[in-house]
Amino acid sequence: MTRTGGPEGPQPAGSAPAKVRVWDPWVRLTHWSLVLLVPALWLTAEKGFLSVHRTLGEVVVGLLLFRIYWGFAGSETARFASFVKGPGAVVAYLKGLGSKTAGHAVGHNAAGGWSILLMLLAIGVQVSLGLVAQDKDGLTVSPLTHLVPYAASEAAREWHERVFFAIVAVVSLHVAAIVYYAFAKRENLVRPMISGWKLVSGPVAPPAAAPAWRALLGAALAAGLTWWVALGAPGVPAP
Amino acid sequence: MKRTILVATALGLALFAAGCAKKEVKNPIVTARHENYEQVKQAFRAIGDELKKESPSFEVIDTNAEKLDALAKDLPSWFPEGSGPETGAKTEALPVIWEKWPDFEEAAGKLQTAVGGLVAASSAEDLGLTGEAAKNVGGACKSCHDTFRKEDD
Repeated sequence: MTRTGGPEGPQPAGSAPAKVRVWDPWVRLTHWSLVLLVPALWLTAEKGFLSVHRTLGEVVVGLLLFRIYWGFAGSETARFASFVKGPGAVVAYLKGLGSKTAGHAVGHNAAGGWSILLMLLAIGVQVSLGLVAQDKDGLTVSPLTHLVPYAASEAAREWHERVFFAIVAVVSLHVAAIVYYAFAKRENLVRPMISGWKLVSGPVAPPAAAPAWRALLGAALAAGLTWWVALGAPGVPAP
Repeated sequence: MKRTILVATALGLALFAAGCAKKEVKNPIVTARHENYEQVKQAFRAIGDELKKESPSFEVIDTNAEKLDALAKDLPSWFPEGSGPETGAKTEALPVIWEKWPDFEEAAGKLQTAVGGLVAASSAEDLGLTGEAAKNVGGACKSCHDTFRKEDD
């Protein structure tokens, strides 16, 4: 298999499909980790395995911190600046949604970018609530529960249960769009998220990939910050 | 015309009020029990919060351990015969509490012993023992819930 990361020479305009790497390994790793973690978190909460739930939730905190960092310092398609588009672009994209032709977007499309942002936001709200919540018996507490009043932890638990449905809603929208693309537009969006590579029609400049050291730096920063949070944010005085 | 609207509105409001009132059956024993458990939870959380501080105050732990002690001693009395699901009130107390009352009392006894240990450890101002004792109390809570309380809400 030849790795054609970019056009090695001049390509015939708009003809031969080019294979470009749209998703770097870090985006894919973050993505599929969340795919596994979200159902696992739901299950552990339902079954009352709260200490496992708490640990998995801490992993999500780390992934989210990394993803935010990567949204500023990562590869081109991972950056918020590259995929969060204005309302005009979103409307234009939605108008073209009915066409049966594949979009061949390199990275997120204009609407998809917003759904990513929404998912990250929902997950961010969810872990923030989880970090200060307590279970209904007050026996399992979260890493930062001791920093907020009792009533706040109680409210956080209730909202933590509700926000889950918001996550289900945005994830459903995300999956529905993928299914729509697969059947109506005959474009497989799942494979690129697994392999990183996507066939794109016409000549395209391959998106810039961030160097590995930058990902490792971000992973170290995210892991360090998460570790500190998991320890209960030592140094932050309780009220 | 005006009168018809007025009557209709009054009727609607009455029906709405009736609907709301019907939704929840209140039972004073069940309500008091919930409030007592809320006290347990608050005292336990206060101890947990204190233990997480860099230099925990044994005064705070002591006060709350004493509260827990009094509550744990009273606990079986929160469950008079007939105060279970048959009241129609929202309760997670399972009928097995009264079916196996000696077992329930034994479970409550375990809590009382655990809380006694907590009071002793905190009076001795032994941080390690206090942490251990608090864990035991949590364990006693949980093991009783596992058997005698309805799962989920």
